Amino acid sequence: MKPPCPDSGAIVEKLRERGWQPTMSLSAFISDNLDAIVGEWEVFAKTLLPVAGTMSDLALRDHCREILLAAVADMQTRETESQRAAKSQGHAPQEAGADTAATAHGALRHLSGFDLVQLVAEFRALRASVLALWSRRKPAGLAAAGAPEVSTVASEIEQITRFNEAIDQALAESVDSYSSAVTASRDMFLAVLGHDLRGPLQAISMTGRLLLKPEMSEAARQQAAMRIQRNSTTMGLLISDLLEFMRTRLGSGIPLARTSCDFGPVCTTALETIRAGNPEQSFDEQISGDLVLCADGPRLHQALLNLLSNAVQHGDPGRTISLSAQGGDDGIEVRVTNFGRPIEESALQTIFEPLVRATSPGADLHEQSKTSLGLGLFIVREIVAGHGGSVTVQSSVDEGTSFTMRLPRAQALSAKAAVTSAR
Amino acid sequence: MKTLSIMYVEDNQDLRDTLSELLVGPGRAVAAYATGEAAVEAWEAGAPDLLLTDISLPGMSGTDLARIVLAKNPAQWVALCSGYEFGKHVATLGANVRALPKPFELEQLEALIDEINAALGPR
Repeated sequence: MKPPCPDSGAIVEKLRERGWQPTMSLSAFISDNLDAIVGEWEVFAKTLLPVAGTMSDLALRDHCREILLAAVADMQTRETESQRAAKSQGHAPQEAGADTAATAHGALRHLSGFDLVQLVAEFRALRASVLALWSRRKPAGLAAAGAPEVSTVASEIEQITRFNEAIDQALAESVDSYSSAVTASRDMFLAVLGHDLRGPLQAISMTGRLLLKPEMSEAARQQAAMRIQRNSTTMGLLISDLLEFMRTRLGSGIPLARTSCDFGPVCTTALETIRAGNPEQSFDEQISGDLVLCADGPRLHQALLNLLSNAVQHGDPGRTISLSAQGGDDGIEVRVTNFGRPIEESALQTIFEPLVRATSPGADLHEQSKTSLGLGLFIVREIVAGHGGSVTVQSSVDEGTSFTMRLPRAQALSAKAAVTSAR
Repeated sequence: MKTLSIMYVEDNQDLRDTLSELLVGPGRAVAAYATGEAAVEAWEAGAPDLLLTDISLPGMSGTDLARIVLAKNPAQWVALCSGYEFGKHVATLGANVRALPKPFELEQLEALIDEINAALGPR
């Protein structure tokens, strides 16, 4: 036990007046008040929208409890000075290949679409929740103290230091696994991007060769032209999505130029584009109500194209794809429905996140039969969010897969509000 | 000279139709399939001289398809095409397995067919 600092008596007296209970250690306090701490932290984590908005409470709080318990165990273990010095420099002993809660947490947060700032903010919130609750604690409202321990200001500082070190250790592990996940995902992103562009490019270049054949019939020539058009559209959509994605990642958001826009013609032209490329697919169109709103027409057209081409890509080709747009008092609701194999429950949570699917390390892309960048749905969400709206997905065998965009009627245009940015 | 038979597996219908039309000609027969499952069934009924398959297919992958047929006939000529970078695993599949990274030129495919024709010898 270290001697208290010279004027600690007065400080301790003041702290006592404010309800400070000197006999309770911070580690015992954390384990006794785990639920309250996790609860407080969870409230904060939920504010990290929109990503957290799609996650269940359980997914949000899962690792928090384990990280805290690991911190408690760490604090309760008597540390030698040398161990502490090593830890503060980021060299904590860790078993080779050990997967701590913090490591799993970092990888999961990447999977859920959190960015690094949000990940760090979570740890700051966790630290702040614990220290705030600890400093606020009142003797009456306290849970029973753990093993009695004579606490002094010096030991209190030591406990806080140890707690901070444990949290820093967990943060370092989380950031480490987060960046490994980022690297893996970037490599995969580039591989899939290459794949998705090379496919239609191959089709276009081979069709070009075919057109060189002199003996082609007029019908075959028409068909060839259609193939080129269809595959160019696919490549064009992918390139626009890629540019929008990069723009949002660079933080500038998708620029929106809002004017008075009638969504009816937006539906018609998007459907025409998709029909031209997929003449054998049947579509059903239901449009009703007042569809005029203050919005960026070309962007909404892009969002709708993405939903329709997603439906064509993943739907059963023999079943009709339906597009409905209904104008109401508050706004308009646009729904694209296709039938076919439903989307799995686990995939629904991250379906709007670009390329965040879980892959085992070193997995061979060739072994995955179907991959996609998933940029399209991400762009849809960004465009809709930029308009103050929302996009949701529902999927089942009987009801099919439906993506629903809800776009509020924007207030009257002001000159300044005419150009806004998504996010 | 005997007809060279090619079994072509590709899920992109545009590419499947186009390449089939480009490959077919005197001394050549092309049968095209959209899935690996359909190709396995057809292969069981009669093996082609060359199995040309895309790797990323819905359901069974082109690599799996190659493994299945090579297990039954290690001498089967196989050309795998893919928009992904090829790893070293292609070489481990078999002696008569080749990789064609997309987008490939028709000449590359023709050169491969010439190589196979030469290897098969006069029949």
